[in-house]
Amino acid sequence: MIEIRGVSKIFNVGTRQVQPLRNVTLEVREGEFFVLLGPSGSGKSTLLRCVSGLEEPDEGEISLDGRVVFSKSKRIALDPADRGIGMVFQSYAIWPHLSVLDNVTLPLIRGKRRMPRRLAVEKGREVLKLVQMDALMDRPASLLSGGQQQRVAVARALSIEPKVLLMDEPLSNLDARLREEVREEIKNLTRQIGITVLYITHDQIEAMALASRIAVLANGEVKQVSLPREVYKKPASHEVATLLGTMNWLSGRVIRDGLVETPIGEVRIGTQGLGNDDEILLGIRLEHLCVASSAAAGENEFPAEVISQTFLGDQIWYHLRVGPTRMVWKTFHDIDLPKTVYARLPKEKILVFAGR
Amino acid sequence: MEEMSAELRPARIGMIPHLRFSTRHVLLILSTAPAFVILFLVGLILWVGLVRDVNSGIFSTGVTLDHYRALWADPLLYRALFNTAQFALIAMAVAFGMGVPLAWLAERSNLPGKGIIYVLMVSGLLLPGVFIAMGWVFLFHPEIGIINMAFKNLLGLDHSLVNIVSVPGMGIIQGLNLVPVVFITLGPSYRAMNPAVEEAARVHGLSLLGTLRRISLPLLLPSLLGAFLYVITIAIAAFDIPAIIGLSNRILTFSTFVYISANPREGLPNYGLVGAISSVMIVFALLSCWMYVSVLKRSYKYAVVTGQGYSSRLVKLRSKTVVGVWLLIGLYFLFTIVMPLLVLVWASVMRWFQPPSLSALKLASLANLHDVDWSMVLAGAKNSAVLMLVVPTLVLVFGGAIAWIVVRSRFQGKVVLDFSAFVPHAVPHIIFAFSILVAALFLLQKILPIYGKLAILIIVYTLAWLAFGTRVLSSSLVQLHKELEEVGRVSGIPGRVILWKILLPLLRPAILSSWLWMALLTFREFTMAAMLATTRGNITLPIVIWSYWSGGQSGRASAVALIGFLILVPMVAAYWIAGRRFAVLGATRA
Ligand SMILES: Nc1ncnc2c1ncn2[C@@H]1O[C@H](COP(=O)(O)OP(=O)(O)O)[C@@H](O)[C@H]1O
Ligand SMILES: [Mg+2]
Repeated sequence: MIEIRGVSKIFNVGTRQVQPLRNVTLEVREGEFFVLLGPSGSGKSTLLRCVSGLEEPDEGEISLDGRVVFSKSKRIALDPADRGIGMVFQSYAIWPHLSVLDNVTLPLIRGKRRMPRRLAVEKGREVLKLVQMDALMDRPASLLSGGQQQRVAVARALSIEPKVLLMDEPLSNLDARLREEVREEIKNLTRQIGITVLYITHDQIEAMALASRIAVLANGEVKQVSLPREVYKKPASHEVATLLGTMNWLSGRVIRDGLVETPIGEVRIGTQGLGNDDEILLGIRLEHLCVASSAAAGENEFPAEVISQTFLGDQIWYHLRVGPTRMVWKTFHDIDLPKTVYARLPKEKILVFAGR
Repeated sequence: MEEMSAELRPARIGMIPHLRFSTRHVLLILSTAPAFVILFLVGLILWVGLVRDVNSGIFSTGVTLDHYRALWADPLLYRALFNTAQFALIAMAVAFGMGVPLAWLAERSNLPGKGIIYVLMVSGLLLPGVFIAMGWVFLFHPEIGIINMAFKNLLGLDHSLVNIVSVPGMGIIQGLNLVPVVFITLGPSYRAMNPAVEEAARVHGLSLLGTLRRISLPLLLPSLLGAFLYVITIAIAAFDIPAIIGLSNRILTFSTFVYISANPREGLPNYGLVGAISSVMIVFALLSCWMYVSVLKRSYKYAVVTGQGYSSRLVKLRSKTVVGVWLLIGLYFLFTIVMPLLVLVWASVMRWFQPPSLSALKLASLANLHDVDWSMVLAGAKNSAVLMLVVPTLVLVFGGAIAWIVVRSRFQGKVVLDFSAFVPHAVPHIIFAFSILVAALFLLQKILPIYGKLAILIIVYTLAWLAFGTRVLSSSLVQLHKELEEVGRVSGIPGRVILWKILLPLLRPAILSSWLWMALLTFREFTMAAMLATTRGNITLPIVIWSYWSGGQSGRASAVALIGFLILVPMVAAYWIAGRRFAVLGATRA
């Protein structure tokens, strides 16, 4: 549905050059909820703007619904309006001088479609109902709350019946509580109408919750494209793993197949086929650590000292000192730990990456 | 079919993305045309300073450095420049000495009746300098000034108390006249300063003085410096007060020197000399322009740091202080607005000016009003009205195009556009007037005969206010999120509809208030009109006053000034009402 092939973009900032996109290639299938996940400044917005036509890539080709909308080599660059897209901006970009209904109908009446007013109002009412804003139709848009503005922005984007919906961090301006609520609404709504969505976020939880597939972007390059579970469980690199949540890290050197020397001692890993003396990086998620008050004499077990704990309500983070390094254990049970404990690194949970 | 043709459209060059061919070109023409004319006029001055003899041929008489050599030798000019420096320094001292504390009081203290200060300040800004200068002459002239004579009689002095017909005298008046400019320039920076940064310093143990010195002052410094450069440009270029007070007594400053050189009582104008000294001025102006911009950039950087979301805590004043402050403010307005206007009323009913007394009152008559050449006054009023309607509109069209390109596009030449639009702000307006005069007389006389026409004033005013118009529009445009336009484009709304339905309505407050403001500036404009308003076809009201004044008919001049004042009052009221209605006063910076 959306095909991005070899897209690069360079900005000239004074005499400096910034390259937010480096040879990006992606494919989004029809009906997919595709999430682009990346830290801020990684080029997500730039990519989305290239797809929408608000920005022109310096290199590459973009197709929407089998139609080339941009191609450097063929000298094609369709107007945003000709691409059949709807877009929700990070700032929502609600026109503050118009009413809620006018915000939705202006593109219908004065845009490509040139609908007669009566039909446009009907259509506007229909999409506003979809986002449960039909009751506030005649309100001035400047009086809306953040959540309501977000809904109107979605309604406006859907009103022109786009083939593709582009969303640029649409939840980042909402407070935490509202964010979860609206997230579920977006998920249900887009599934209900079956539209293809390209969605941008820097929040891995949001990405996991929404995506049918995730692409991880960093430094303007696609690092991994996978199902959400897979990205979480088998991150392709140290960089991707860090993006998907805090981890405990150990640098190490392979002694022989399955055994690694680390600052805290020798660690057994499940990964095979590493060469002796390879420098590698071991990662284990906070919740995958096993901590007990007495030794079980199992594999990869190390004595540790509890330094402090952080109580977060539904979870507790224990800060441990293991040998010369620090680790964090995340648990969902409020338990009393003695000063000295034993931390175990389950072999199958350890992620192995090439070292620096 | 539709889709095919869309695909075959060639890619646009990424200059101004995604506007249709025509819209883009209209924008480019609207923005580059005035920039080109500005740069051309500046270039013309530099050229005139080098041409051997403009009168006998602007291109045919060869190039020389003689005029620059003559600069050193001309004692009159030497004196004028020295006077200008003295005049500007005194004016700056007075303007900042009063304006800085006043702005602080109005923004950061709990002084009661602050709203009135704003009204008075903006009115002071709008009152034509010509009126005030005439009033001051009637009040403080060493021979005829009412107050001087009263003191002479009372105290038996043999010399006058205050002599305003002197460089320091004119400097003080100019300074008092500039207080509102300082006030309005600095007010927003005081307001934007987050009190939390000061409080943080206090909490962490800095003394009040230490906080001021290490926190407040460095934070305010960019705006102070910016205001300083801005106001000194105005002071150096000032024309109305030096013309009204100094010119008849041969006390010249830069602007009046240019004026008499271009309009000599006898002989041919010495264009070369004016060209040379103007070129020197332009270099200084561009230098200060560059400094101003770099200072402004720094203050923007600070503005990001301060941010919003706090309520300014106000410094409590003691009631004694309040009384004292209001007494000073009252005196200020008494001397700068009330008394000059009252004395103008008095002068307008006196055939020959004399101090107010019972016996003089018997001589009061409306003779001046009767003797005024009404057809000339009406011509002036009509021309002023046309200018007030046309000029602000043109400035907004051109300035809007420049602002949009500078803020929104990635057009390569936008730096040049931005710079050219800023030039009229720094280069003394009299130089622009001089340049267009030369252009009209020696270059355009056949192709575009604008000399003596209203068109010449329309052009030069439009260029002169362009800096203001562009800045107001671009600062409002910056505040409008560009996504508001982009979402329109993504939804397929054509550029012209985006302009009418989205941009203009959102910018309406800025457009309306700056339009009114420029209309008022146009009404009070005197400097450029004095150079260029030479016929009935383009005389303006201030020039009618000026011609009576310089012809020694102060009574008639006062009468016409009063008529002008009566026209001004409802306009200023309209400005205030519009300002309140649309909650914009930020635009009020000349
Ligand atoms: N118009 C622009 N001009 C210059 N640099 C830009 C522009 N837009 C984005 N960038 C730069 O490109 C990089 C990627 O930006 P962006 O795509 O907005 O990142 P993200 O949306 O992932 O946070 C950043 O370094 C940003 O500074
Ligand atoms: Mg972004």
